[in-house]
Formats: sequence, structure tokens, C-alpha cells
Amino acid sequence: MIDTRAILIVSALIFSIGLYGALSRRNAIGILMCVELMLNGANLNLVAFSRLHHIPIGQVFALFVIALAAAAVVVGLAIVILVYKQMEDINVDRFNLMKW
Amino acid sequence: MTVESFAIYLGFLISAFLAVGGALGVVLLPNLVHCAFSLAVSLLGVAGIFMLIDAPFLAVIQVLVYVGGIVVLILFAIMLTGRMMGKGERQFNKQSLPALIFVFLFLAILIITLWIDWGAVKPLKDTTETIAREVFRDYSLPLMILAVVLFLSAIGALVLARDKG
Repeated sequence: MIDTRAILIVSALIFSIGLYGALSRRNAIGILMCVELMLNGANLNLVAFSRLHHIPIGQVFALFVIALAAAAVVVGLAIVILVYKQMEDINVDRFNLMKW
Repeated sequence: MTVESFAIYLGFLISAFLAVGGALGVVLLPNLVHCAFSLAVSLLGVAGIFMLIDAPFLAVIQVLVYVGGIVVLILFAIMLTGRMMGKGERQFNKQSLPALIFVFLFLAILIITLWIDWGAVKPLKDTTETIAREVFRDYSLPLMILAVVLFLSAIGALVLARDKG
């Protein structure tokens, strides 16, 4: 059987890489992709612990996380396309309309 | 070591390599289309890991929803905003270096925290059946709320992206 530690390390790596991308990318769609990566790391953790404790509830949570990620990315991309139509730009460091 | 457990370890190594390598590609590649394909590779790697740790239903859902749905949606959005990844366009902001340092510290803390012996695991059996029973019996209210959320997000996306003219 695969050690739980190995799965947790892989999930920590995926989460950290996604976090770095979400903090350092300029393109809004790139940031959305990195957020998907972070959610995947969290899902891997949920499934690993559900296997460790021998209760499959963690997989139900992971299922809900996948569905919510789909909903979030739909709304996020709609907002990105709307902003692109209005400002001709989707680099997030140019969105300073609401910054005082 | 039996042949079967060797195959499981090999599959885990390949899947983990695909997942982490794809994630690195998403973050580091300059062209967003390449990033989206790299995201697909990473998600397929995670699906492979799901398959090996007794979550075959989640693996199938991962491929269907993420690789078949979300990545295609992201590709459409990238192509609709195609001008944004021209040659002269910078893809990283000025916080890159502090973000890198912060993430390295975060990862170090995570790995130090997780590096303990978690004990042996027993294989889970019939997870698809158990998931179905849990979702439709104990978690039926969250399921319905989730249905409403998905419906509202679809309508919200339509309203947001509608052409006013």
C-alpha cells in the first residue's frame, strides 16, 4: 500500500506550487488555473485522510469541492470576460478601480 | 515485494511526477495555452493517484469534470482574450520573489509537520456504493444546496457575460 506520507507530500507540493502561481501571476485566467491547482491539493489531502481513517466521508467532501470549484470557475471566467470587454485588459495589477 | 505492489508503487511514482510536473508547468510557462494543457496533465496525474488510493469514482469524476469541462472552459476564455499573451506582455508581477520565499517557508513548515509516521492503512472497499449512500442519505441537504449553487452560478455567468447592446 502507498504510504500516507507520500500522498501528503505530493499534495503539499501541488498546493504550494498553486499558491506561488496565484501570488505571482499577472493574468487573471492564470490565477484561476492556479486556484484550481490548490483545490486539487486539498482534495488529495481529503482522500488520503479518508483512506487513513477508513471512513469514505472524505471522498464525499472531495466530490463537493470539485462541484464548487466548477461553479467558481464558471463565475470567475464570466467576470474575466466582462472585464476584458470593458477595460481591454485582464492583467490584475491594472484593476485598481476599487483601490483607494 | 510482489509484482502487484511494485506496479502500484510505479503507478504512484508516474502519477505524482505528472501531477507535480504539470503544476510546475502551469505556474512557469509563459504561454497561457500551454499552461492550460499543463493543467490538464496535472489533473490527470491527480486522477491517477485517486485511482490508486481507493477512490475510483473520484478519479472518473476528476477526468469528466476537470479535464473535460473546466480545462475546455479555460481554453475558451484564453482564446477569447487572446491578445493578452503577446510577446511583450510580462506574465509575472513584481511580488514574484517575496512570494517565492513565502511559499518555500510555507512548504518547509508543511513538510516538517507532515513528516510523521501515520500508521498502516487498510484498503477501502466499495467506495462508490458508500459514497452514493452517504450523499443521498446523510448529505442530501448539502447536495440540494449544491444543485442550487450550480444553477445560480450558470445563470449568473449568463447575466454577467451577456451583451447589453
